[in-house]
Formats: sequence, C-alpha cells, structure tokens
Amino acid sequence: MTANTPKTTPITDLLAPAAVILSMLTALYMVFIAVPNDAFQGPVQRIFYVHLAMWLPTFAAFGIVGVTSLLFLWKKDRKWDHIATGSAELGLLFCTLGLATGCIWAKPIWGTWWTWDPRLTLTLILWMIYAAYLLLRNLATDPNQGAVMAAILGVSGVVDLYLVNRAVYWWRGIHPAVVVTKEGDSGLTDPMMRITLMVCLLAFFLLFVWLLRLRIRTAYLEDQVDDLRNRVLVTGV
Amino acid sequence: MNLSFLFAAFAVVWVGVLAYVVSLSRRNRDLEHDLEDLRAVLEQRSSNDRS
Amino acid sequence: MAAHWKVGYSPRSNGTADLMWALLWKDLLLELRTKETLASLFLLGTLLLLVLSFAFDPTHPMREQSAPGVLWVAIIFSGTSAINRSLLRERENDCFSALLLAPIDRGTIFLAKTLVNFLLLLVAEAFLIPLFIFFFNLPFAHTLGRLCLVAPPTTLGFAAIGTLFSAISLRTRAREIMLPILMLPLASPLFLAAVETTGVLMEGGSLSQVSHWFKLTLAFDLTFLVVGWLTFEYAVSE
Repeated sequence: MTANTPKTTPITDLLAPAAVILSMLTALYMVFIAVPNDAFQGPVQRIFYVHLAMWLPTFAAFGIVGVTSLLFLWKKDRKWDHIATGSAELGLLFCTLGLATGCIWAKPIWGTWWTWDPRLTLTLILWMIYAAYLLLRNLATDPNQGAVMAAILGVSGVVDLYLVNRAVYWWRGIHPAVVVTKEGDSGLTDPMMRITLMVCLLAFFLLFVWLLRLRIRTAYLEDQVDDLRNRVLVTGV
Repeated sequence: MNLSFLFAAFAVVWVGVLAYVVSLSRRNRDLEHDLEDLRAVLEQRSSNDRS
Repeated sequence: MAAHWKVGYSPRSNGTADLMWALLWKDLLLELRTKETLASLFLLGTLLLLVLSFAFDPTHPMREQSAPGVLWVAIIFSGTSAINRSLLRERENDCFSALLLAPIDRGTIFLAKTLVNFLLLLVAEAFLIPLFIFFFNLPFAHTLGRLCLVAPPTTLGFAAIGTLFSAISLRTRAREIMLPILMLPLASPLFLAAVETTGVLMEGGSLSQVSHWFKLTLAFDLTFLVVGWLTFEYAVSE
C-alpha cells in the first residue's frame, strides 16, 4: 500500500519550500526595489512581472494535462491520472491569477478591465475548458470512470487548442480591436527589467513544481483512502 | 491611485496562492487522518478475526 | 485502431457499413414513430428565437448584425438538449447495455449516433431557418441559399462533439448541465466560424471572403470525428 506513495524524504520536503521561498523573496525584492520604474506606465508596470510569470506554469500545466491524459488512456496507470488532475487544478489556479492580474493591469493602462483581445479570449476559453475538466471529475458518478472521461476531455482540449487559437485571432482580426497595444510591446528596455522578469518566472515556476508535488501526493492519498474504505466495507459485511 | 492597482495585483496573487496552499495542506491532513482511522479499523478487525 | 482492442473481432467481417446502417435505421425509425426529438428540437428552437428577439430588437434597423448570433444560439441550445436526449433515451430504456454488448465496434456506434444526430439537427434546421428569416424579415432566397452552405458543415462538427460528450455527461450527476459545460468551450471555434460566416454571407460577402472559416469548420469536423471515433470506447466502457 505505502509503496505507492512517492518518497517524501525530509531533505526534499525542506529543500523545495526553501528554494521557493528564497526565489520568491528575491523576486519581490527585484520587483519592488531593484527594478527601475517604467517610463510610460509608472509603477503599475511592475504588475507585469508577476502577471507574465503566471503563464509559464499555466501553459506547462495544461500541456502536462494533455500528455498525461493520453498516457492514462493508453497505459491505464493511475499514476498518470494523478499527475493530470494535479496539473489541471494548478493550471486553473495560475490561469485565474493570470487573468486577475491582467485585468488589474489593464484597468489603469488600457482604461478597461477587459477587452476581447484574442489572447484574452483564448485564455478565457482555456479557463472554461479546464474548469469543466475539474467539474467533470467531481460530478462523475464513479471515480474510475471520471478519470477516463476527464482524460478524454484533456486530450480533446489540447487537440482543439490550435483551432480555438485560429478562430479567436480571425474573429478579432475582422473587427477593429478596441486597443491595439500588445502586452509584449511594453518594452523591457532596461536589462534590470529583463533580469527581474527571469527571476519572477523562475520563482513562480518553482512554486508550481512544489505545489504540483504536494497535489500529486494528495491524489495518491485519496486513492489509498478509497482503497481502504472499500476494504473496510468488504470485510465489514 | 496607480499604486493601489499594484497593491491589488500582488494581493490577489498572494491571497490566491496562500488560500490554495492552506486548502491543500488541510486536505492532505484530513486524508492522512482518514488513512490512519481506516488502518486502525482494519487492524482491529483482523485481530478480532484471529481471536 | 485503439477502438478495436477490447472488442476482439475484426469489424470488417460484419461489414461496418451494414452495421452502421442498422444502427442508423433503428434510430431514424424510432424518431419517425415518436417524433419526440424533432418536435422538442423545433419547439425549443422557436422558443429561443422568440426569447432572443426580446433581447435583440428584431425591428431595429441594425437587426442584421445580431441575426446570425440569434440563429446560432437558438440552434446550439436546442441542439444540445436534443443530442443529450439521443443517448439518454438509450439509457432510460435500458438499451445502452444491449448496444454495448452487441458485437459492434464502439467507433461505429459513435459514427452512427453522430450521423443520426446530424440528420435530426438538419431536419430541425430546415424548419427553424425559414422561421428565423420570417421573424427577422430577411430576404428569403438569398439568406436561405447562404445558410444552406453554412449549416451542414457546422452541424456535422456539432453532432460529432456533442455525441462524444453526451456519452460522457451521461455518467455524471447533473448530466443536463454538464453537456453544454463540457462541449461549448471546445466547440467555440465552430460557433465563431458559423456566426462569422453567416454574418459575412448575409451582408452579401463572397465565398472567398470566408473560405478560411470554412476550412476551420472542416478541420474541426474532421478532428472531432476522429477523436470521437478513437475515444468513444473509453467514454462508454463500464
């Protein structure tokens, strides 16, 4: 039974959070103190570092969901399903935070919380797909079936991504966009800005990896509890 | 004015991440509890069977 | 290929086309006798056209701007519940297990069900579209001709993704709500293409102006026919 649990040696248990905390503190220091103000946007531009840092974990997570879903359908090994669930949940978390910080940044800079910019639309659709993925798991009448069905959705989501991407770009391409400015154009001219961005990306990616480890452990525990519960029920009769 | 947006963005991120970490660790703790309870029940049953 | 592993027979030996025809005919006959899906599809679609006309004033001079959206929302939502019914009916009558026990490749079952849903939706659209033109006071022959080009490919993709995900939502609590939640985000390229193409063509645009949208729709159809054919087995296996 316990052989299934990933080994959590005290060293990695201590090292991972330590690395996360250290890189986070460095990132905070860089964002708030070390980096110069943006010439056009002023202090609000500092949101940009943390906002951009959300997308690396988000897309990594959704990519992992696609790959592990496929592996799960193919190999039928619960291990892949645990990773897929964990990634979907974390991907949704980072996606939500990315959308939220993006809105908060857009309000002072673009003058609106939301525009139907293709990138925003695409992200919102992604968010809906993975929210549905998690809801499907919770509402499945049988957890094993839920895992298989969620895997189908996970694979479909990745397969569909290219089509969604084309569609929202064409959709916005035909109508004039409200704001033409792109986030990428905010111009990280100062080398310090680029270093800050790198540190932020690293910090949040480490956070993602650490949380994913924890979340996968939760999935293993859930599996064991279900297993034991069944055994208690069987022996109880 | 603009600083409040900066503050809000970072607050959202940290509150979000912390809330997730707290809920995850609670979930883990509860599950470990359940696991222990279930193991105890099983052990008791098997010792009852033997006696 | 994956779809054949578990069934353990060669689908060719029984003639996939014959099997598909049998499955198709069974559902069409059932529909011809009861007409329950078509009747509810048509009524729900009409109701949606009515309700959406409250939201977007159909007498406004700008009505042609909102018209494609109104039509497609009516089709999507009435179609979603009709597709949901198509597999739910099998389950309610306890036919689903029998269908799965039959020595038929699950991919074939998927294709047959998709085809049935496609045909039923097309018939419903054949009634809804004239009604829509009538309500919105649009030029009849012109609009009808243009919609005849847009509707079939869109409906095929809709039927494919709908059939796949209705098999999934069947095994959840809150199954009526789950189908649109699972399907619509994934189907967004299809509906964007439908609304955009309808809009451009109704305003008198040429086909070459929307050829990229047509290609997208066909790519979507193909994608979900293949995905459904390959994964339907997993979606329905007990």
